[in-house]
Amino acid sequence: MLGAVIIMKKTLLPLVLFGALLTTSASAQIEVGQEMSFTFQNSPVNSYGVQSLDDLRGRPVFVEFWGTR
Amino acid sequence: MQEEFGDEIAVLFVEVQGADRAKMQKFALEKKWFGGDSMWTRERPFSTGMNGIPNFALLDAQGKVALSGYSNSMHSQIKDTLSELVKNSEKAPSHYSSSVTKAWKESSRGNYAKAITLAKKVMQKAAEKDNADDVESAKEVLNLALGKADSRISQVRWLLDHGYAEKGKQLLVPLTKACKGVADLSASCSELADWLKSSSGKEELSASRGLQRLEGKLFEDPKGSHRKGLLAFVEKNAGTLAASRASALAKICQ
Repeated sequence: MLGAVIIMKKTLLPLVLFGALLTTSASAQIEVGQEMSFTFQNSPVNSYGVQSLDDLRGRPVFVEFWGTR
Repeated sequence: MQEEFGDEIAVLFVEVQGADRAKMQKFALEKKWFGGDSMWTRERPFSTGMNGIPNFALLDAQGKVALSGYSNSMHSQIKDTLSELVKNSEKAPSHYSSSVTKAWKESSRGNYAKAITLAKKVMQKAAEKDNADDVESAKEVLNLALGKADSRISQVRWLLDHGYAEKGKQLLVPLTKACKGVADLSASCSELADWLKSSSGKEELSASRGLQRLEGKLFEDPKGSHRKGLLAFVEKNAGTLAASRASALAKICQ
């Protein structure tokens, strides 16, 4: 049983680490209260020309990180 | 979230699994997300530090992080925080004096020229009275209003440059009114209005109106057969920015 757990850990650990890299390879991590600023290279789809996070100021912004798979 | 709070909040989805722009657009089209207020990007503006998805960050109206975590397990916390943030976004900072607050309110209503004029007046009067706090606050509001107006003008310019002439015109009309009285801003608005009156501008306006009609049908019924119509539009409006946009849409309709 313990052997199976060790084997699972050995098999899954690289996958977990790879998954973490897939989802967190971007810029610095955030802290509550931190002021965010970012300029997009390409205006987000359906944004009608939003070029930076600053353009969205004046109302709260819900930013969700998701996937299409 | 967007359905609940409408345009009181902005929603930005960040695709983090490496889908290309066309795949992301196709996915959004099939989900009938186009035409709504949500935006999608593949560019990560920051990392929340979470390992799994979906995860999120809530930014307040000043762009500061208010909350972050996993979306699926924090739904009610997200809703409560957003309600609070929406309320706060309608209030001027509590340390502002009444005259600075007045300028701030004009800025938040989109009356940029009024806000700028008021903020300048407060700065002048406050400086005469050695009121450093008011000078500083009024300066903040002045920069805020100028920044917002610049941002709106850039947005209209982007729309005109990317085949959304009609949408750009719709934004430009109230923006011109909101900027009236501030020379630099008015000049930028006039430049954009002049382009819309030019022969290329008129051509783009007509094409973008036509494309809006096709988009309406496509967004409403993404599984219908729209490709033929889009390709015919591309041929009819060849050389226009709207045609380039239609061509890109036809590709994701395949």
